[in-house]
Amino acid sequence: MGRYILKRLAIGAVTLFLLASATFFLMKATPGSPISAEKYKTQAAYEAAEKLYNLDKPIMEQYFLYIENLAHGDLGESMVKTGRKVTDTIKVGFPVTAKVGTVAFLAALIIGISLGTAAALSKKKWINNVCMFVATIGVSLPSFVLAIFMIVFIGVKLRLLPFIGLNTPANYVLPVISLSLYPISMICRLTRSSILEVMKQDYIILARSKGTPYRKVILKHALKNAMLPVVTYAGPAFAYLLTGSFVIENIYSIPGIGSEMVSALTTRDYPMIMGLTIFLGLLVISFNLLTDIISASIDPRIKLK
Amino acid sequence: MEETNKLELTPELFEKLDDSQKNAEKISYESKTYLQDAWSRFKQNKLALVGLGFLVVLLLCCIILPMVLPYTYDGQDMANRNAAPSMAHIMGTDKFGRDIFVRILFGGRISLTVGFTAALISLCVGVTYGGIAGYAGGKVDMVMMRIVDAMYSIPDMLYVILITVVFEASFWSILLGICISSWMGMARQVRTQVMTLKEQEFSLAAFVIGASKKRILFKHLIINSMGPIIVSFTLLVPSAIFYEATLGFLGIGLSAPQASWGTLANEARALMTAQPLQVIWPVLFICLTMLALNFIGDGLGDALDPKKK
Repeated sequence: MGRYILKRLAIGAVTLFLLASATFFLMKATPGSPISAEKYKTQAAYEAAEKLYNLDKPIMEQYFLYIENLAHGDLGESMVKTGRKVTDTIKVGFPVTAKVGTVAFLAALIIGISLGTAAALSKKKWINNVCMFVATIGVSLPSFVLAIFMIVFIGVKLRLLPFIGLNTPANYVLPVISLSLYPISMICRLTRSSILEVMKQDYIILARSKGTPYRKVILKHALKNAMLPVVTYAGPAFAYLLTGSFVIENIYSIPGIGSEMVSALTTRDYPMIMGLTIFLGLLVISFNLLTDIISASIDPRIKLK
Repeated sequence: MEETNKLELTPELFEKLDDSQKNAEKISYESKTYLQDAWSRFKQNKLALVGLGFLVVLLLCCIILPMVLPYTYDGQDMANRNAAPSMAHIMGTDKFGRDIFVRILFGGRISLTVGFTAALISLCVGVTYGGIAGYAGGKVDMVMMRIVDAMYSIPDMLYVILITVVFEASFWSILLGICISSWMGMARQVRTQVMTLKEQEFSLAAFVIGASKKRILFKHLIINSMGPIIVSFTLLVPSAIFYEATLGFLGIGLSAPQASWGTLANEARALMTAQPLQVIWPVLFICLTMLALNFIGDGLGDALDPKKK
């Protein structure tokens, strides 16, 4: 186990390093830059700005400086909003994104698992149909399409819910629905098929024939064993929700890191793009690792290699 | 005595069977090729059929209607701005008086081309890469799959966005970005398929009669895993359309006056409160197309798997 974790950590670190290097050289290869001679009144001011971002040095030296700073946790300064550190942007933006992401994740887990369980166990056909309907719609409807439909019908036509910013709890409703529909449908599908599979196992038949109450069989035996595929999916899904959907934050004007990324992209703020990319990569990689460790500790049958 | 036993066989005693009764005593199924069989199973899935019908109609409309209709995608009519749907403009006009229906059809050309081309390229790359990794096995497989794992752990959207930033948003850069982000899933799937198939007798038989490795891989193993590959292909198309629409919607996709569905939705966003219909149209098309493709994918998944007979 310890060796496995070490190996995974090493692979994760290498991946992150490669991501950082790749983004660095990609950004350097990009034509156009927010720092250009025309923007500054004097030659001296332009040179000072170049010096600030190390643009006067040869490219390999810039690269090594960048990696060295990265190792210290320093992601550099924005080129557009002068003096603004990338790490500060993350400190301000990430909690906002994380709040919405966590609410969406919890909603997805609760609704997805209960819907999936109901569909697997209930003999009523309509419950199954609802489950399959949600699963199909959720997988094939892009989140921003749903968001637009909801803004137009619920926000604009009926004026039921606010859809700009995050000031009141009611503001959370629409973004959370838009963000969680996809994970809900995935979790619902996974739970349903996994429970159907588990209910056929011998230990369920044994538990039932011993006279264990049905509730207890479901909660203690079936659900617990059926959760493995859900955990495997939920870990990375949580990471994606935490990194914030670029589109959803953009539509609902949520000041999280997704919005920051989009505005950095449109203004070609290279240090910001690089910094946020690395941060998002780090988040996703660590969640993948965590998921693998958790699923191994839930199910001893999984051998980590 | 001899005379009585002699049987007279004259042609009049025989009756000609009509064709339908010729094989009456055979009890076997009418033999069907794999594809006919798959089609007959596909036909039973009503949703998949509806999806296929929608897609075909949409494709035909996108190709033919712009040639017939009197409007162009950039023809402005300032006297007729933000018009409501009418007989002249089925879906109304936008803030420059351009016919929305025609713009949607042109957008559909772009969105669908991006979707199918990106899926096709990802398919070729993924199949070759996964096939080689699965067939070679051992260290080669290990290294190749570690690379896929590493690439997989980075959010897809980042690839697409970074590539479009570096190469400026154009049809080709968006295509490249989508391909880079979506071939890995296909590679993994093909690898697993090839790894199981290469242990089977037919592959050994091909090896014994001296078929080259390349031939075994492409003519035997990959052909035999075509079912799942086609299914993932139909699911890659909507995801490519989705990426392209998202980019357009964020305003970092194709630029005006060219417009995909995502770009159209982005343009109409500013007017969302006053003219909600303008944003609904492109979004509706994205949504219907993705649903249709997903239904087709599901239907094909059932149809192409011979075990589900």
